[in-house]
Amino acid sequence: MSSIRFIHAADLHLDSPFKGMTGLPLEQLNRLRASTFTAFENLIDHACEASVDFVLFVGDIYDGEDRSLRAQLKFQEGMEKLAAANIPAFISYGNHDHLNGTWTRFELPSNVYVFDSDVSEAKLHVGGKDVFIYGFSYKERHVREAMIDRYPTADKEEAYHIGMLHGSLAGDGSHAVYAPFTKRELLAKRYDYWALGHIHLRQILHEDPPIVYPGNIQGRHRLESGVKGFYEVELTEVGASLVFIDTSALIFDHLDVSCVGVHHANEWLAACQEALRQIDRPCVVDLVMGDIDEDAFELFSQTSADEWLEVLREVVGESEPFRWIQSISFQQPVEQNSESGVLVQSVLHEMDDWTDTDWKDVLKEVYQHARTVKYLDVLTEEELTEIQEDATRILRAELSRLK
Amino acid sequence: MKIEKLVIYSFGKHENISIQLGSHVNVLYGLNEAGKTTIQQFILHILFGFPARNSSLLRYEPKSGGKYGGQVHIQDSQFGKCTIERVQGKSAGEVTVYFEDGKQGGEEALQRLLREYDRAAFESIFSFSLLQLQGFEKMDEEELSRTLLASGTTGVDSLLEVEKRMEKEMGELFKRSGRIPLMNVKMQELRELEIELKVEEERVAAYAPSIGRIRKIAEMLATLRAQEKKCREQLQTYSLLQQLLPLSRQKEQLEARLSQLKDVRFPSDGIRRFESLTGKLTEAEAAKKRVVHEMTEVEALLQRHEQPEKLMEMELLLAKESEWHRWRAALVTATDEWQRLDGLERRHMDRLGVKGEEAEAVLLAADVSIRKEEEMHELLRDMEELSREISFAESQKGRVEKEWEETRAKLQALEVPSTEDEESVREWPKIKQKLAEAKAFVSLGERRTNRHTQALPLGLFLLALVCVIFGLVQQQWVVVLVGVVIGVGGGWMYPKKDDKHHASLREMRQFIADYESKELEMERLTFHLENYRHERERLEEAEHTWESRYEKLVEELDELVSREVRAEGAFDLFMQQYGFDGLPSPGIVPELFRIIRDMQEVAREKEAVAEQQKIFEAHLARRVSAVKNVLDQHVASEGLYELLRRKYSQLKEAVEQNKVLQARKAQLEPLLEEKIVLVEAYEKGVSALLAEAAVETEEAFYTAYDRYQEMSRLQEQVAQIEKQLSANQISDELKGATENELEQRVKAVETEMSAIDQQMTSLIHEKASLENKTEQLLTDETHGDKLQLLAMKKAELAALAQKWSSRKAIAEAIRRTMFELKEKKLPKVLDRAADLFHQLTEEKYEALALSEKGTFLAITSTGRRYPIAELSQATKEQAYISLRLALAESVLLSAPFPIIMDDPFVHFDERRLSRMIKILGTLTKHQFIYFTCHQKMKEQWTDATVINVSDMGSEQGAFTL
Repeated sequence: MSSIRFIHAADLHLDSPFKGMTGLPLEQLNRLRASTFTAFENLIDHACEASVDFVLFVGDIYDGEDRSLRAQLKFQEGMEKLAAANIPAFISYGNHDHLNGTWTRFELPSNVYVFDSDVSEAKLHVGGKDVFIYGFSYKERHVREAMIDRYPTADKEEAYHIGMLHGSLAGDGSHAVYAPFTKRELLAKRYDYWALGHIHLRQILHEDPPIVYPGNIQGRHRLESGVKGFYEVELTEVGASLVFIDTSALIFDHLDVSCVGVHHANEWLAACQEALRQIDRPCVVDLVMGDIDEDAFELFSQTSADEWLEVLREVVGESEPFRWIQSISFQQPVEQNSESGVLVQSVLHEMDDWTDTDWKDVLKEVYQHARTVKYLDVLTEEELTEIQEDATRILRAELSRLK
Repeated sequence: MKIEKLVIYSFGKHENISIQLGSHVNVLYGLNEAGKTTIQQFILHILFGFPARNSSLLRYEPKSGGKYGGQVHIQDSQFGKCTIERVQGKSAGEVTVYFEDGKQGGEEALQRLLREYDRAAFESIFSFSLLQLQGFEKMDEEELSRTLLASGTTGVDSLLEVEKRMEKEMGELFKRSGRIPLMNVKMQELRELEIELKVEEERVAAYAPSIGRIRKIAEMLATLRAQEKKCREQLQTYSLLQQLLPLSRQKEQLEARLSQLKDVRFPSDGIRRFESLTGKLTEAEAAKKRVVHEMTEVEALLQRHEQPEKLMEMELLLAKESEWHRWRAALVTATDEWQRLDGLERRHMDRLGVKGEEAEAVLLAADVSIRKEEEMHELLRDMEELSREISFAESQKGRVEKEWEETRAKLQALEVPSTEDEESVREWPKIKQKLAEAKAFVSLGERRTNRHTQALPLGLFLLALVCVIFGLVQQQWVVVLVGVVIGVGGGWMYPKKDDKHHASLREMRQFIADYESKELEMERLTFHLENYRHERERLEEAEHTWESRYEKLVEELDELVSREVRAEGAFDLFMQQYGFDGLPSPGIVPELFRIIRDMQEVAREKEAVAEQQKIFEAHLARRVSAVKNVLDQHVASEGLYELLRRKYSQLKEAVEQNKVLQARKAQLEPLLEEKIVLVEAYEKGVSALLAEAAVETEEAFYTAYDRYQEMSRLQEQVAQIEKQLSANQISDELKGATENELEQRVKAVETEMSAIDQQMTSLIHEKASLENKTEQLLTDETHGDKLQLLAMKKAELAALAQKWSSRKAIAEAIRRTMFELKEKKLPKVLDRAADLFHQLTEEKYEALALSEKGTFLAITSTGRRYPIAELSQATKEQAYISLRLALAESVLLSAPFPIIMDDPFVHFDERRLSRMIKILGTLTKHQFIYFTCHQKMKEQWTDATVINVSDMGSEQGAFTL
């Protein structure tokens, strides 16, 4: 059968710093940093072992201006490995590694084909069949133009047509909009496969033909949670089959810990450890304490969340696999607690009534301070909610302490 | 929330009563001590708990001992119909809330139902008596605020404290221009890190230029290497030229020399030919000389003469040599034989003891025939026979004598027996008879007694013992007694015997003992005596025999001795015939005979040998003389033939040599001829060569050759140089260059090369260091680490900022709440209170306000301000009630509780009371429970639910209206 097999990966973000990590010892931090490389090596190893026909990298191989020489060296080494295995690779650079950058470019081996800033076509011959790959690289940081218009429509029935596109769905406001496209536009090109990049969340926008975001190969912060990797795609004359390959060296995740029946600290620690056992691989975890009843609340009020976190980290310690508890948070008790009086209620109601603008106004002292603005990101809604929850908890704890 | 029903199990004086309440105004009327306050307290106790025992408040525990507590049934806008039941339990009582949907709750549910209000907060708004109203003058703004907030002093204080604490914690986290707060520290760290990062980035930024430079250096190096190569080539050319310069010069010289040697001729291969010819010539001359010499020698030798005729005679003699030697050998043998025989003869003589010529002669002529010898042997045999017989007879005689002697001795030694013994032997048969009888008697007697003497008493004893033991064990004393009796019986039976029989038996035994031992001895003695008689008779007979035999033997011996003497005389006579005196031992006589015979033989042989000797000596003498003749010189017999042989061979050799020389001479003559011809031919050849080289002497010939050689060598060299010169293509420019010019050029190129070399070295160094640097940059993770650190620090800062934010939010919320209360709610309440007060006082007072000190003021319609304390008692109370009602109204949404009043309107006049009632009538959202003891109050409220508390005691709680 004249089928082709290839790897579709995107958003490697090699050697990009991990965000939102605090309190991690340096050596663990290094381990964390190595994980993008490990994930990449996993990818290359898989490609070589599975002996795929070619590999597609749909943008954002590096993390923008911060790209390190090491990252480029590692990528180059990976490409050399593919070259040794006689596997071609196709690269279309994305917004994070656009062509206009002033950074040093490493020479890549001859098996690597890099698309230039205009949409072009690369042709190769696999198993007696022609394969046409279309793509472009970002000329500069921001490409807001709908590049999809420049992709040609597939006209050769007997060949495979694959589109590489680093960009986002038009109208999706959750990410910076680059090279916007609509599903209809993509389908109109009558390609056999659309290899997308840019969105770090793995998703299949369309089944037949597949329009796929493989997500990034390694989560880098708590919002990029879960298993990450790439797709190994097999195209046959009758259709496509996709196999997701996990590459993540460690995963970010959050776990709910039920605090039912927790009266004492050791019971709580046991509950946390039990919950942690669900993830049997290196991970960075946010723990969410749920089902907090009166006793549990009483327990948690005894000391600050930071101290609980510290205690928990000590207990979890350096067990294998490596598990780092990034944070713990507490859900509101199921039933409104009796401890707070009318006054507290009115204070809490006060916060409830605040709008985003109010919040910004309240917190501007820090968040809009000339010196901090450089280092602090704008607070998201979730963060505001977190702050409010935290505030509620602290207030309650403080009042119960004063009683 | 409205109270619908009160069910009192047992509380104070009340027991088992149920009170149904209306939804709006309820007037509970009763005379003093009817239990109004008890009901009011019941409500509060049920809602907020029984007071502690040590509290100032009464607990209203039932006097009758009924079930302490009761129920309050309520209708709530949020929770619906609920029943709150509180009974005796822990100090505050055991509370259960029954919800409409069947759920139950405890204190916590109640708390929610009561909107977190505690008793104090509740009382400060919703429950008041006249007495409490009177304290109003002391009320100030803060008090009012607290009241308003309905949480008592603690709540506000706590909040303020929390706010302060939050502010403090925020201060620890962040200050606008601080250094110590955590966020400031973190920011400082971030700033520093950014600077470090910038440095690091600059370092990393150097990578691209470095790589560029490395490439450029590589290019430059390539150019330089090319240049260097070119220089090197030039240098090579120059050095080649330098090498070639002396060659051209040499060529010139060679050519000059060649021109001098121009006309040299020399025959080809001349030297070899010349030398071969001269060599051969010398050789031929030498050979010629040798032949001449040999000829003269041969001739000289041939001059001497020899005598070949003598050779024949010598050969004849030599042919007879073996004869000569035989003769000599035979002579020697004969001489030796004669001497041996002479010695043998002498020895025989000596052995025979013959001395003197005569004796010898006798012996030599003696008759030693066989017959004579036989005669001698016969004589000897006779003698021997006799001596043998004599010695046999003597030995017979000796033996018989000895036997005889022994027999006699034995006879004498025979022991003679004693008379006593003979006597006792005669007595013995009688005694023996008697002994046999005694033995028979004894054996009979013993068999009879032995049968039962011991068996019976022993059995009795055993029986006795068994009886005693049995008796003792069984304590049957009768059995013991029986045992003892049997024992005694046994003991008595034992010694009992047959005394009479025994006495004769003992006698018999004594007899047997005496003779039984002698019986054997007597028998032996009898035997012994008989033996003796026999032996004696035998010995006496033997002695007679031996005596007669001895005498016979002595006679025979005498006879034999006389015969022997006769034989010896005959033998002596025979021996005298041979010259021997006396008788030699008969053994040697045959030997004598043999020796004499041998001696006679030897003497005959000796004579024959002497004859032979003479013949041989004559032969030898003849031969010696023959040799002497031939050799013509004196010769000795000894070594005769050696000499002859020597002379012969000398002569023979000389003859042979002569023959050889003759032959040699014949050979040499033609040889000599030949050599002479050869020498002449060679000499001709040599002179021809010399002529060819145009020289006369040999020396000149060689000189000519040398010159010819030199010329051809020079020609060759010139050719070689030309070849070398033509091999190296030299540009025309350089062709004429002198050595100096070349050197200058070389120097210039060398300078250029060293410059290139320096440049290259520095470039290579630079490249190496750049490569090292870029390599380091590639492997260096500092930049990445720092980036990560930056991200982490940012995250930490964000975390701190969030922490700060929560605290800030709390502080801000508290601040705003307080502000809200003071700045918004409080004025609202005051306005409403003023409104109510205005109505109550029939528009006399316009408003209520707060003084700067925070105390309340009443403002009249004319604008006059009176501190509350200065108002009349009733007006004061009216102001307070207004405030309370305004408060209750303001919190209606968050706290929709009934307002419980304990007769606070008693000081009101008719008009103000009716106004008050009217106002209350308008406040339909609230439930009022009014306790009073005044009849007129009951009458004033026309549309109120009136409950007569006084009736309840008598009707035992079945009271409803």
